[in-house]
Amino acid sequence: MKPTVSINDAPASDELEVSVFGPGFGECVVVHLGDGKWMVVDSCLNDSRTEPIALEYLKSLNVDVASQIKLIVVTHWHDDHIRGSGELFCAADSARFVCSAALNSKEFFGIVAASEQVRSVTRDSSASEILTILRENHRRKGRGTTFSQSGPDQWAQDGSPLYRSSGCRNVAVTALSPSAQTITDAAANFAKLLPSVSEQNRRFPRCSPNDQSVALIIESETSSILLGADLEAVSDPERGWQAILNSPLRPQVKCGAIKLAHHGSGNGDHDGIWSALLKPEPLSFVTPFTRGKKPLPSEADIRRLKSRTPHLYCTAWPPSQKPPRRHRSVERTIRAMTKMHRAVPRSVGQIRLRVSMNDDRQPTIATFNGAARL
Amino acid sequence: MTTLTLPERVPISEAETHGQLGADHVDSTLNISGGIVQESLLAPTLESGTGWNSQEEQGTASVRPVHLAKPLIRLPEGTLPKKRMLVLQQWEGVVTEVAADSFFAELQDLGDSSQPIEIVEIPIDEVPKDDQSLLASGSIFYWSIGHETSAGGQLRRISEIRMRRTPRWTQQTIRRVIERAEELFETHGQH
Repeated sequence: MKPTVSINDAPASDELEVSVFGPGFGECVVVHLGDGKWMVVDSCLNDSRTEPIALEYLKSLNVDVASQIKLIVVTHWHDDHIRGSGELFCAADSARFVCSAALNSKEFFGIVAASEQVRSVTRDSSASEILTILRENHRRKGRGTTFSQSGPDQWAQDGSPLYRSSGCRNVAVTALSPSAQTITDAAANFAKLLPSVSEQNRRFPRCSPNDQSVALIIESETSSILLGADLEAVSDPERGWQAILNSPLRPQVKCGAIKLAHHGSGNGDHDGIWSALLKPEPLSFVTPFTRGKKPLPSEADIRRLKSRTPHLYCTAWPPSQKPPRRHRSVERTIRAMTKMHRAVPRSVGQIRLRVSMNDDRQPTIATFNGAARL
Repeated sequence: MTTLTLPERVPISEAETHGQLGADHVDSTLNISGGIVQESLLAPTLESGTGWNSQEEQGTASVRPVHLAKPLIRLPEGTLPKKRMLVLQQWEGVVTEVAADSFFAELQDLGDSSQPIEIVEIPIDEVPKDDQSLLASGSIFYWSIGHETSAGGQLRRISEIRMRRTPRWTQQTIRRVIERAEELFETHGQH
């Protein structure tokens, strides 16, 4: 008989936990680094859209978020990765804040400044979440007597060490991206998004490159896990996955599990990930993205990924659902007026991986709230 | 008194729907009160020679227009029948992508925030001509579906997409953004 698994059981102090959360839009990864210390990578809101899912989950485990969240990483500023991150950081009083070094430019701060104007019109929150975090960090740094540099605690780039555990656990978190070339290109890409005279005030389009995002590797004595963010494979060898594969700075380990990049899309995939960065048949987790023209992952993506590994899990499956039922007259009009109509799942599924950091016990995987093995 | 009855199912002409509905009929069982219909039945006798020419009424009433030099009854101002609209559904939408002949958008139900975000693809033709130039990724619009009861008592299903007219960026606001960006970079950036 299978043991009962509860969503509210906290991991043991010697267990590495990686919980991947995702509704149909958005993702968040909560990581137990051992000894009650936690890292949160990206943010999305809970089912009722009232609280960041990471806060809800950690509170349910009786984690003191103010003291036990040690690191918050925002991989990139797209709204499916950043919602609620401001609130999360404000609650995590002891956390260091890390974001992509590609954001360190006047042009990106131009986006932030413009979003202050746009927000009143469009309720866009992406860049303003970053500003909330930076303001809070500014306040915290000004609290002590040694006020110096503000901004994030660390601008992450290829090879940046982000966390090292104290004591005997030997847990390390290292950034694998963005590459130096991506950081160089970023300012020009942000400049293209800045508004021009007489243009209408509108929400910023999601068109900045995903190669600005921060992919991470988490290493412990017994296992390593790759978090692919939204990193894509591009033809330029100095950007995206190819840059990571070419980098002498990356940890030379092969991971037993991966949070697949860019919602399992073909763009986020690269043969080199599977041959150079992963063990054979790794545990693979995907979060869907259903807001685009076509939901990700597509059926073809699932077939491709299943040919790579039999251990494929998704936080919300199927990735889109039927729209809510309405007055029949309304439904007839919608049918007549639209070429396509679907709804984004609201419930935030969770895939929870736990691995012992002391011995070679088999890892345990549990799925909750609509997450499923595919 | 002239009495008009709402037919069981009233055909809607192509002109009436403006190509927006694509449906053939208005359902007479829809949620309108008998009061609204009754009120609008007075319309023919109250109009003084100018009535009965709107598109809504053409070909839908079973009584021919009566042209009178002077109204027989003059009701106090403000009691004349008017068009009424019953909104059944309203969304705020954000355009996510504009293709050659259609656009993609995310919709948030304005009547029930607990509803999930919906994704739609809508032909550009469904947007009023004047608004089509405002279609761009990131622009906001409102989509309403409902019933309209005309002055003549006719019921029709309506759907209206209206792009939101937001303020345009000016030289001055852009200058402010640049100044603010430099200030933020000075405070939070790494030089």
